[in-house]
Amino acid sequence: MATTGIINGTLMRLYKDSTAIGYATSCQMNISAAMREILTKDSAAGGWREVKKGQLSGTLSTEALYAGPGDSSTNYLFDDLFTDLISGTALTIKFTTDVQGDNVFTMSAICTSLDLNAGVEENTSYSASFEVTGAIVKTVKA
Amino acid sequence: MKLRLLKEWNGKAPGKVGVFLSEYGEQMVKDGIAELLDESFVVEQMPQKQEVEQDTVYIPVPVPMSYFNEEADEEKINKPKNK
Repeated sequence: MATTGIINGTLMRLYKDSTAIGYATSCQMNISAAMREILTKDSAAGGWREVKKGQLSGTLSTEALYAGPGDSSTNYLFDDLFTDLISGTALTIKFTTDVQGDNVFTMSAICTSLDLNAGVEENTSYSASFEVTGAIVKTVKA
Repeated sequence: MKLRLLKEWNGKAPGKVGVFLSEYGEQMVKDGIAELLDESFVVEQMPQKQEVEQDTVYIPVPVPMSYFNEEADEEKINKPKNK
């Protein structure tokens, strides 16, 4: 059954294929449409900028706590993303609650940056950014 | 859903635990690759930041010098002065 009301952000997770990106503390998906200017000398807009939709694009980012190879998790971790960034592999990413009736955003994305942060007496954490290649497809989980 | 690996999977050793999309996880259980730990589990338990309790801070309140002259008579602190 679909989630009713406002969805708790904790439940929205990024999955690489079908494996959760582990120890995430936040996930973001950004979709934007570039605008192309169509103002000409023949326009009747009186000098006001006129635009139409251009390229669509998307980015993903996540912040997560860092765990090394000694971690007892099968989740997708920093080490896996590190390998992907070096190789430039396009990953199949899903952004979803994994609840029946809720939206599933599916896309192919390349990891473009990893920032590892280690403060004294703080959790070691990292942030990862992804550039979407191709379309972002929205479906409903059956 | 939360699963524990029974066999090696994608280079991950048996016994490791992870969160999977339900359809995929169900197939892994059917294939005998993993066992189901929690069907509705979404978020793993993350390390908690240790809360540090702040020690009580005492702020000195300035008092007129006359207070120290009559320190033994503490009742005067709470009572309005009679003129």
